[in-house]
Amino acid sequence: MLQVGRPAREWMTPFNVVAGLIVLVGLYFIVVRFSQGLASITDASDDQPWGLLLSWGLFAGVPLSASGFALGTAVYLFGMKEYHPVVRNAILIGFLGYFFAVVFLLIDLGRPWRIYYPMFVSFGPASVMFLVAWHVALYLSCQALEFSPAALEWLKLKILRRWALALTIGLTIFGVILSTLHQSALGAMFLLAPGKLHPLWYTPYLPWLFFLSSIAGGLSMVIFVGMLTQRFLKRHADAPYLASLEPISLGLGSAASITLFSYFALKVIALAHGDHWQLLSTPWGYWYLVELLGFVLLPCFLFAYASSRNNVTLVRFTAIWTIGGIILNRFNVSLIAFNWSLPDRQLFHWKELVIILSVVTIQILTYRWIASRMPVLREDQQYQSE
Amino acid sequence: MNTLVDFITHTKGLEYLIAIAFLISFIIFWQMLHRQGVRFWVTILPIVALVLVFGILGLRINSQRPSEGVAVGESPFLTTSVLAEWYGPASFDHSSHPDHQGDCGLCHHYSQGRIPSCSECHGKPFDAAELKMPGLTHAYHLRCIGCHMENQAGPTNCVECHTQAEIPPLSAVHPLTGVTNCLSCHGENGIPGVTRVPADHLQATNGVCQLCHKPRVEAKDFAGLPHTLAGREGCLMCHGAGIAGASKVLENHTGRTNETCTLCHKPL
Amino acid sequence: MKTGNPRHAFHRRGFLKRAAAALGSSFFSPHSGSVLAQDFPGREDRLGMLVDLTRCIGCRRCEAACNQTSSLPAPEIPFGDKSVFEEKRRTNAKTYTVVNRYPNPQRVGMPVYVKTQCMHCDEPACVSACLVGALKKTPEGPVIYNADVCIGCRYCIISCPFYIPAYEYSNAFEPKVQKCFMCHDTRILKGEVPACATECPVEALTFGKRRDLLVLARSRIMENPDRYVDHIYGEREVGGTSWLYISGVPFEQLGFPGNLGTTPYPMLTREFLSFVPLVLVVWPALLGGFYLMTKRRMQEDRAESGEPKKPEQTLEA
Repeated sequence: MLQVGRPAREWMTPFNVVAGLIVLVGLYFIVVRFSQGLASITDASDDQPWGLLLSWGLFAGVPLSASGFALGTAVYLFGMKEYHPVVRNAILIGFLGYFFAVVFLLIDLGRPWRIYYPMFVSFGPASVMFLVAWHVALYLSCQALEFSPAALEWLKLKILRRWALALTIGLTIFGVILSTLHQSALGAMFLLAPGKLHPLWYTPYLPWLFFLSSIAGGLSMVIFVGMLTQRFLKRHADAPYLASLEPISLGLGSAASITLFSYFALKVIALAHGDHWQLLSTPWGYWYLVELLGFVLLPCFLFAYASSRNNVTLVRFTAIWTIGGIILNRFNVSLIAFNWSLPDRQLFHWKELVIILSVVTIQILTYRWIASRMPVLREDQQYQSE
Repeated sequence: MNTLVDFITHTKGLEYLIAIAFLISFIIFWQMLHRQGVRFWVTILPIVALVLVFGILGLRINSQRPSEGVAVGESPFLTTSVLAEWYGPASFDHSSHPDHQGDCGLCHHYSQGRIPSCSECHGKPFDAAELKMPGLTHAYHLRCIGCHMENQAGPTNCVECHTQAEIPPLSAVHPLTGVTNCLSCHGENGIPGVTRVPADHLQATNGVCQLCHKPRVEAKDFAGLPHTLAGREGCLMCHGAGIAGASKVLENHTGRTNETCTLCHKPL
Repeated sequence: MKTGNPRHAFHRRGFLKRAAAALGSSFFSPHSGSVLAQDFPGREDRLGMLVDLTRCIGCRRCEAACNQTSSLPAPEIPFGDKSVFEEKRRTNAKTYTVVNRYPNPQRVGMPVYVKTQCMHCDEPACVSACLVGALKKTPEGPVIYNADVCIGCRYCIISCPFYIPAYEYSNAFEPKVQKCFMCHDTRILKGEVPACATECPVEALTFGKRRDLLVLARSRIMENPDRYVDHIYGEREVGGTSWLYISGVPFEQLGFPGNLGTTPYPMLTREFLSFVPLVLVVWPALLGGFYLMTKRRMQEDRAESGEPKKPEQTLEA
């Protein structure tokens, strides 16, 4: 809702100007992609058909959007009321993450106008991708419904809001099911490429590694975005939300620590399962150890240390570190260690980077637009008594 | 159902449908346990819609059961050639192999005393029912080239035995720089006045043309143009009748149109 | 209704029996015998191709024939030009098959030429990867593609262990996956031998039923043990392929992927797919149960703290 009458120069903040420029350049390249084909903006080849767009948008974007289901489960199913102030924010982060994963998918698909084909036209139930398609579609709708009460409060549609609220428990359970399945399905997609993915990353445990790490990723995103809202969107938040942020960050930090510890254990078990110990002393092995020790074990300990010492700053720093670790892991599996044995690989084209930057900017702007209007970081006065 | 992948496709499709039916009935079951007035119907309506949608989907999946395909009979598959014959026949002269005189079995194998002609056994071109017996052409090639390669003596290249007879070289016409599609000029709807491909060549594609028709000339072999092409669109406007000192097109160029001139004649 | 004619009645009963049997078998056909993966032998008379690398002379007529019959665009280097062998090529959106030259470590000066194209796996990874069923393993043997439903996700290209399928990245509006279709629609269904095999001058390509080709390949190896290595590539690789190769030089030295194993690729994701209905069925009960327990606990808490008990209180507000 544009606030009519607001003078134009109030919009011309440096942030908005830069964001606008980035978006424009990105949109230009997206137009080029749709008029001249994928070859015009990506380095995709017959050997490496997936590139940065999917590695970032789908494989890294989806686990970082696990916040919705993680917090939804805690609050609505396990009744952890102390996390209630951030649950809407977590759902919003999740919803936007999925929405823009689909946007990236639309940019990268050869014929995006057929994206509904796996649902209504032609089926391939033997494909893991079939599951991913269904689950992302269903979960996106599920999260839209989960978030809808906030939008309906903003639009002052009381009856619709009551109906939407009645679905909360069902949607949360359904959301957990769908999340379990497609977070892991993203990993399972690579089960079909044993000869291409480096053996240190290829393991039958791939689906479960993806699922476990997505929980840590989702929790870290709640901590990270919470920090940003405290800094930049303070005037759209209410006192209970702001007061709860720090204790919640500490709690989420210790939860993420435990998750990362399990994740670490499962990664080591996967290594043993494949008996790939000797590969650890190769250059790829060193890279693997960087990921395993530097981006799994280290944040695990940091989270544990920080939350036991009530060090919110360190928890927040570790959350950013963990987010980087999740992105690194997904990049390794889908891009860096994929086709590791081929010579002369070109990982990505700079235009892909521009498009990603642009879409992420749109994502941030959308988040800001919603969070500064709808009751996300605050409770609507009208419904506070409920 | 012959393959695992068909089996998985079918069973998973069915499994998913049953699981979804379970989910829907679970919700109904749940609602029956906690009958809640209005909310009950709010939940039931989407369920009814879902049941309808998935019913239709289920029918579609089941109608996609793989067919059994076409039976592959015992009758031989035909070898219908797709390429025009590139080479003339090769003739084999026994006297060209004086070293092997008297050692007939070297080529006429499996013969035990009698010397049969090649075609006596290798009579058919190719027979999928009798895979062990190479066709006549193949038998010749295998015997000749195989032995020549083995001993690194004797011809192994096609044109060393075969004549590449009566193939009009492209030299008579034009070089190939800038040419991407032969048939756009030489095809059925090509440019008037340009040689048409023969009827038995109509299936040919570009890549195949150049196998036989080799360019022997380059653009520099042709008279260059002493002027630029800017603003000059119709060559024949001046050169057709030799207006204003322009050189007249050659006698053997009659019927040519503007499109083809610059293939050979480039601005200097 | 009076039938009168006993033969009639018998007939009808026979028909019903047959119908019941047919119905039964259509339901239980996968279970007639064991359901282990290895027990899908494929249709017995499916077709294949045997490539004898000791025979290939590198003339590239197969490439030309393929280009011709599949109506592909002209190559950058004409088919007669031997300079293409200077570098290794792979199949791409404009080329369904390529011949590469490899040095022969046993006989210098007698290079080995290797024709590459889709292997037409018996249990294709690409088919199990396709989420819209655009790729299909035909009962005749070839793996074919339906561009009308393809959405362009390119998971088939990711999954192919042989690096075969290619994509038309420069095509903005109708990009297609491209690979050898073994002339399934254009020639095999008309009873014609695929174009490449038709044009091979030395029968380095032999087209026939896969089981016959296996016999032929084995007999060639047995009759000339010095000429061949004792391995039919494609007999067991990734669960078997329609295209089979025999060679005088070990396959690892000729650019063949050597570490593929014999597991059919659809097996790799089957276990995960089986987990899906499990989650769909178990999670609702588990999570629903947790919710009910939580709800009860909270009601008790509330009762203790003296709040009026609301029977339909949920946690949603």
